[in-house]
Amino acid sequence: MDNLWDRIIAEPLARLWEQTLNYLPTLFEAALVLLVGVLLALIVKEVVWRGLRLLRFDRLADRLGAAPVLDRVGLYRGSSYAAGQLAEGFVLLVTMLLVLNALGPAGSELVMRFFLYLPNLLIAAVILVVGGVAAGFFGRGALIAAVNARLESARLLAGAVRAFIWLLTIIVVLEQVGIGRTTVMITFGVLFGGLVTAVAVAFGLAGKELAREALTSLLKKREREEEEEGVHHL
Amino acid sequence: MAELEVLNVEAQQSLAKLGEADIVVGIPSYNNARTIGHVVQAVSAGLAKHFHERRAVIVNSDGGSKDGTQQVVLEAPLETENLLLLRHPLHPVQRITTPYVGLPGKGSAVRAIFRAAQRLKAKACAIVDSDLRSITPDWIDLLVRPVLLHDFDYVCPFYRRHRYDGTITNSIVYPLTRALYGTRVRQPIGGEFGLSARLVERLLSKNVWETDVARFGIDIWMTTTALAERFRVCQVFLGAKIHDPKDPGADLTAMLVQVVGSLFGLMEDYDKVWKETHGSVPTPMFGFRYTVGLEPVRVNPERMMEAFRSGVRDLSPVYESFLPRDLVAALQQLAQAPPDKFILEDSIWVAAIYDFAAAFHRRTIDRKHLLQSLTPLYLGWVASYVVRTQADSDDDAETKIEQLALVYEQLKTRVAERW
Repeated sequence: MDNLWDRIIAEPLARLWEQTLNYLPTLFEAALVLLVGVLLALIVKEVVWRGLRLLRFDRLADRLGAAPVLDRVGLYRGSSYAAGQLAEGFVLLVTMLLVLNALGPAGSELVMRFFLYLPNLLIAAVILVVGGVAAGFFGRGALIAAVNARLESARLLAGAVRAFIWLLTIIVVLEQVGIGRTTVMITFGVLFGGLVTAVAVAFGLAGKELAREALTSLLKKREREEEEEGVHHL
Repeated sequence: MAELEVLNVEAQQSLAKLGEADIVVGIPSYNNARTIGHVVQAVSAGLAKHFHERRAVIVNSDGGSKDGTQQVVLEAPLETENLLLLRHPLHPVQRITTPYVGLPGKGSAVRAIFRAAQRLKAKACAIVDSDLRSITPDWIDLLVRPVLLHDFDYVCPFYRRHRYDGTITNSIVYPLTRALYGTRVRQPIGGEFGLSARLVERLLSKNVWETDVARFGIDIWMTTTALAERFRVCQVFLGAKIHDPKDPGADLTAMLVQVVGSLFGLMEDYDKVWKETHGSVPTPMFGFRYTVGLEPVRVNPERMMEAFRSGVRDLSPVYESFLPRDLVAALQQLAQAPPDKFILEDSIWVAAIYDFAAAFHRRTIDRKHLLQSLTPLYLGWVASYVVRTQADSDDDAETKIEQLALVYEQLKTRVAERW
């Protein structure tokens, strides 16, 4: 009975205890790295924030058009603060990698895989930012042009432009990070192809006459309205 | 080297044959076959009548017209028998027609004329539009004489215009130019100008010919340069300005972007000048002022109000990115007003223009988007001006423009603070 107890309970527990004792220094090492990293991140944030503020970085960034972008993503405290947060995030990321590395071979394996995957993530992030900026820019351009052309559905048109650019961006990002590659491409192909075909059929065949009448009436109305306006602007 | 880019070989050869001239009158054109013959005849008659002892050349700088404009220029009769001249001209008026080289637009055409004037060593150069119906020979005298005999460098036109003719000038260009540079020039983008050789030389030396200046921006650029660089400027009374109906393809937003963009761009070039300028002074005026009958202009303020309302409704997020909240709120409030109470206060309009200028300078949003978003507000100003002046006499309507100009002067510190 004692033999059975030792073999099933006591010996595994003793081994576990021994392994835990052996692993404790590694754990402490990782915890220490984490603590130092978090503290360092906070210090770096403060230094970058205050340093850039002293150098009047906010004013420069605002002049380059950063203010509306920061406002939109909720970073109201200025460009220096945003830069500080970015630096803090970077230090925290490096800290996490060091912690994982310190935890032993399994952690090292994870770090290795992370580094191999990192370029994809970075490219995807860049594509996401560029896509977001492009969606905002072209959406705003479409909105202003549609308002000036006195189109009733200006906001709808601008929303469609923004949505289309976002859709393209997300597809490219997913493609980059390798998520549902085939499914995404097929979905986009079906959606886009279907849309184009629907428009072509509507305006090219079924609604040819209707489209012609609508366009003629629209153009005539515009000409009539311009004549009625009468004012010479220049 | 630059000359080769502006004038083609044929034009250079023609100019070389002519040698020198005292006066060059330039006529920029693009598809103006209907009116340019009359303009050439009036210019020629003006030169024969008022400058019979001077050597003069008419230069038509054409933008590739397809309607035979250049042919009309070459075939326009220049005889002077029916003018009852007291003295026969010593030198027959010469004419050259040439396509200009460069970006399509009036600015490139004017540049070619300036090059021709420079090459001919002309003492005075005048520019007249090719779509004019009301030009008379006396216009040439009025545009050229202040340069030749009174040492002025820049002669601006002063017309009698219908109150709803030239509304960009009335609402922005005149009052803003006056407030910025301290000189009251009523038609800064009038289309007809007289220039001294000194000013022509200065304008040609500037590197602006690949910008919006090459298009609609040329007039405001010339005027601002003359005012900001303190050249001697005067105005001449030319009577009524009647020109061909506007080009239906001419887009209001494109005009606004180019004219207002040029104006704001020039504010950056001359910020030291306008920041140190306070108040304004009148400009010397030549020519006998008389009353003229003006062609009626039909206006439809309701359509413009509607454009303003939909603009304010849909573009509020855009405006909020560079206009203060209280200003956007005031615009939104006006959008709710019924047609008979649709009054855009001068102080709100001027504050908006100054904030647009500051946002343009600070690049708060894309500059083209910024300028394009001005169109609905501008239409709101025009509609409001129509409502405010419908029952007014012409003089009362003009008084309202003068009041607006004073508000521009009073609120000028606003743009200086936000610059």
